[in-house]
Amino acid sequence: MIRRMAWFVGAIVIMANLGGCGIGYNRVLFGTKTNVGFDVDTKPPVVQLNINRKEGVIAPQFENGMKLPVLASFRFESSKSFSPNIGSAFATGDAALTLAALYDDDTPTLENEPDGWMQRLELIKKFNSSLTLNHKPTIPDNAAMLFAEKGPDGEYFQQTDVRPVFFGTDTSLGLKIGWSGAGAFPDSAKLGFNRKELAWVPVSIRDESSDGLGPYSVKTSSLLATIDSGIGQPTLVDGAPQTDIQYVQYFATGDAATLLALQQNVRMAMIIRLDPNRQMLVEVYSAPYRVSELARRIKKWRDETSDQEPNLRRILITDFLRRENIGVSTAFWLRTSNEPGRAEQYQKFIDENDIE
Amino acid sequence: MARTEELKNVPKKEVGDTVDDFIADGATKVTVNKNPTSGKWNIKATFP
Repeated sequence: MIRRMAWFVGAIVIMANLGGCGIGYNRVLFGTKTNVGFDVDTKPPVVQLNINRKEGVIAPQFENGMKLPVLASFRFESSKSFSPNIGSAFATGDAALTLAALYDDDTPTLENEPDGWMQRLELIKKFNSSLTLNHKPTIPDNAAMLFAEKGPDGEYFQQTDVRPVFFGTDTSLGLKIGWSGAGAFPDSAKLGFNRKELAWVPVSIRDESSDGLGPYSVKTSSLLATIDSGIGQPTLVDGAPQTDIQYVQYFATGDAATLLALQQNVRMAMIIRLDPNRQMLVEVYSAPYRVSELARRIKKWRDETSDQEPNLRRILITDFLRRENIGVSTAFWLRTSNEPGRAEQYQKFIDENDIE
Repeated sequence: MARTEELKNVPKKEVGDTVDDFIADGATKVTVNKNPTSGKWNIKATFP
């Protein structure tokens, strides 16, 4: 506990020494603190969950209420009796904008360059989190005296001088699973998760005009930190405890942060986890394209002109897939002829509907 | 429960028909990407 308090106190002391305060005027302070305790016990039967999450930002608000982008997300799920998974994303600047804009979209590529990873270096320029101001922002004298320190060029906002950024995370994950007998499932399972995320970032300004009258653009660094972890349902096999555990963290600054934010797998920390239970949330079917003669006959029958209701034959296929518990679409079913059981399914449908 | 279906290595002349079929089946999003090794196309459909 003392060590963890020291982490935050130390960070604040470093920040104060490096460049004064100015938080909320010419600097952004953004932080989160998460504590999760998850306890499942069979004797007596109990499921206990405690989540303590703090999020906060102190940042300047510019004309017309404009604010620089920050983003934080936290996700906790447990789809079975004990299969917890945790995801967290923490970002500022272009990385925050990218995460929010793309959310669960695929990893983007430029048109006509679907496989060009180098083109992503160009794409990140499209995610520009700068705010454009009509007037140069000023800081009230009283606040300036107390908080916002000027740079060597006499300006409150960073122009050409160098200013420090502090960006850090602190994570601990603890797991204990216990079996008292030889049963397949554990009698008790405990999970403890602690994470702190902190960003302290100067705000930079640039005059976009040649006459010194604006407009001005203000911006903060692109910073990104994510964590995505999952623990599968623990079991006892031949007396040996088994469970799947996956854990991945990303930490990046600058263009690397924005490039990582473009990657769908990184953004999944906000949405769907990478852990063993992923299939529980989204069913994923993938198979090579293959159309057999039987499938071709069904498709031809479905698409040919009929005096029956135009969509009746399509509905008959959908109804068949539902009755037979084939959980895929008509389009997928008719084009994955190499999948196990497909030939028998096609034949049954042909027989039921007297297809020639 | 959400569901995604992906058909791999679809011949070019079948892409349009396949996409139409996915949409007729109720897909809310269909993406098409060229497979760099086979030169054929991968089609991914998302169902709510």
